[in-house]
Amino acid sequence: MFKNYLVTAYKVLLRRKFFSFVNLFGIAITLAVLTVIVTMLQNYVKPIGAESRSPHFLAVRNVRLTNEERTSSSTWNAGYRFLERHVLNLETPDMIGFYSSGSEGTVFIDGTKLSPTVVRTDANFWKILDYEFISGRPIQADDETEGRTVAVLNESMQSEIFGDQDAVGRRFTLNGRPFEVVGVVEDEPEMRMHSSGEIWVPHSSTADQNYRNEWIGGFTALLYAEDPNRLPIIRDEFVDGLAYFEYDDPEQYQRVESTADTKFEMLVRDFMNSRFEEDSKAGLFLLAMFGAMIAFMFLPTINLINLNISRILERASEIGVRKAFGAPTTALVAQFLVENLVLSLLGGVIGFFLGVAFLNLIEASGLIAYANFEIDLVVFGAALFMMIIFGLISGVYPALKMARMHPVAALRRA
Amino acid sequence: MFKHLFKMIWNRKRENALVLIELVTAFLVIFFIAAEAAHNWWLYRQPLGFEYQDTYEIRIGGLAGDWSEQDGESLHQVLGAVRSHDLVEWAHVAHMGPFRNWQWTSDVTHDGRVVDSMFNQFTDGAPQDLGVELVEGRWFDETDAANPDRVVLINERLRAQLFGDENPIGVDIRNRSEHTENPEIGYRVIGVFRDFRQRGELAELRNYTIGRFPIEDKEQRALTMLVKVQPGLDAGIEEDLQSLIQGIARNWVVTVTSLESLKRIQNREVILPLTVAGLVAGFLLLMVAFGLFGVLWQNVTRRTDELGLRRAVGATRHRIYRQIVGEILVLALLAVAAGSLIGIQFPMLGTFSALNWQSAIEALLVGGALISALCLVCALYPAWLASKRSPADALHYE
Repeated sequence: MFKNYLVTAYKVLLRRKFFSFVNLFGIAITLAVLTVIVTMLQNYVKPIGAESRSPHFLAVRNVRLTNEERTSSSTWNAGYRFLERHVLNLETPDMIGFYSSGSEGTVFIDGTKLSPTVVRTDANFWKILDYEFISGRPIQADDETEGRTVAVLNESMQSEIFGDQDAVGRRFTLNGRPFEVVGVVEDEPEMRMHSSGEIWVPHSSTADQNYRNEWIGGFTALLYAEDPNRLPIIRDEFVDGLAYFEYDDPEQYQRVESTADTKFEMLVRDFMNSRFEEDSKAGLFLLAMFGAMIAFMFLPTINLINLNISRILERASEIGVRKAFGAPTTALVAQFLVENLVLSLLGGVIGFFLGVAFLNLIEASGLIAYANFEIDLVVFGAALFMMIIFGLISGVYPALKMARMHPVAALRRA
Repeated sequence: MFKHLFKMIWNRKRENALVLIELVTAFLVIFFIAAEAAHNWWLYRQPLGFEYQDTYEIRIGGLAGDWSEQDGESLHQVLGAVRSHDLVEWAHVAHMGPFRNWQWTSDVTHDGRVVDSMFNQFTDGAPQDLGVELVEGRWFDETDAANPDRVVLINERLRAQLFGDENPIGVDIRNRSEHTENPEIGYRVIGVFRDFRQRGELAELRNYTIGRFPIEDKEQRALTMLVKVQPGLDAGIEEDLQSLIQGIARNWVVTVTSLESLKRIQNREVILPLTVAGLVAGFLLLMVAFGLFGVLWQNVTRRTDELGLRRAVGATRHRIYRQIVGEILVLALLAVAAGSLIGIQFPMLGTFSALNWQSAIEALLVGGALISALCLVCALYPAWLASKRSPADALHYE
């Protein structure tokens, strides 16, 4: 029975090639766009590349200092003093590392200017994240304590500054000061929120050490646990510790707000503007994303319904004969739905590969620095799921309409 | 004719309703993107208010702690050294440079009216050198260093909102800010300038207030310098400036960026998402066009007997052609009307800044034209197909 449906679906597909093309085109384009969006979002939060251990850590980034009345506040990323008082002394994490958000540096090479993204880190950062070293070593504890002017470059920076040679052991001038290259790592895409960057230096390598007095600075701390199940305990310890806030000038600020988040929560907080709320609104975010996808599929669905309805006529004789020989409505509906699902899935597969092609195009265009999208079976599965919904919705109404056709009227058309 | 076409559409209302929904949705997609594009195009055509060619922004960073008097001393030396550089035309200190996505905003009050305004500070002569146009009053100069009033200039937009027809020159306005110790600071307006669109060509028009940067006060923290160089120089000048400044102020981290590149990056941030949305919408429209074409083609085939009858009782080919095209155009008209009714809710409610009356009306026109064109193109071939059928064949079909 089912096999018959598939054979009919195949024959129908070949019968009017223009209509089949129009159907497939609509479905494929829709799915391609969805694939691109979902893959990009998923690449933000997936544990891949240097962030492969991300299920093992929480990040503390946003800090807000306020007075009791909340009439005045100071908000940005964590400063070094905040880290010292509220993060570095936590007892539950197995390891704590931190880094500064990337700032634009300046390197001059033969009269041209490079503006690499420079990240300042501590030594633990390199143990928590898992960079792929091409040569050399990471920034180590003594680099950090002595404030050495050493740097780790990514592969692209190495070739831009030093050409094809191995840069380890060589020197270059960054922001007017000489730095020695100690390591070279593979490029990390710009969209990896913790590991992206082009040049990494010890946080203590700045000329000015005043950042150590700042409550609000540019730092993000990573709280690492061997056992991911212990992350909630770490979060509780961190949040409880915020109650013991004491600002340098107690008159000015009496409260501090901050959160320890997974990568996904961090992304959601930026989108949902929920940076300091206890609940990151992750559920609402997912719901909104799902809603947006359904809304995006509305137009293609209506389009497909219209086409399907007008194609019923084509099948009038077939329906008439089947009805005359006693086929029940349900059988006809089932048949039409199977046909529509086959079409949707076929379009879905085409659309998926089209989406992959779009993603390659985005990678090649350099719009997102060092973009390297990994497309996995989860996205493919989600895409197929969306296509099944799509196929069902766009098939039900035309199928009912077809099945209800009066056999006499249908046969008369033959 | 019209009445008849409506009747034909009404007779097949179920199928037409679905086509109508599709057209309305397609119209709304075009409407939103066209409104955003129209609004940005309008913003782009508004005068920027200053010149940015061959000018560099120099950001003074690396000072995590407080700005010391020593830094103020360095600033004076740096300014002197940069100004005496052979290739430099002028150099000034500003609170913040243009084409960056940051701003300093505060409420300004006068005579019970409260409006918000962006703020910036420049050293004496900077607005003139940047080509900011003075409309009335005067610019500040070194004599204002001894002036007990804090002097400011406001742009025409702020002047209109705060003063209406009053003369603003010499009037004190107040700045309300909850972040300063003194909740209300008075400023004396000494002039009005055309505009200074700090956040670039594609940013919304904003109120703007320019104050004087007190360069003589060495404890005043400086964040940005603007330096204009002679035209036609390469990145070598950036390196020169950086090493020159870094050599004097060793504890600063100095970043030199050309305003032209900042402007390019900033414009790209607006244009890129719009381009992507436009491309996606283009594909959606292509899909709708194909779909519509298919539906019309099938409909014409189904109505062979009806059209044959018309031919048999004397309708010319031309009239059949007109009927098919006319029907779909009426449908397009209905869709545009329904879409417009939904569309004009947005400027009425004021939900999006990009959707004001002007951009909404432009978007309605664009959307209406595109939907009509799309329907027309899709109907041409099916209508021709219908009209070329001979009445004998068509009647035989029954």
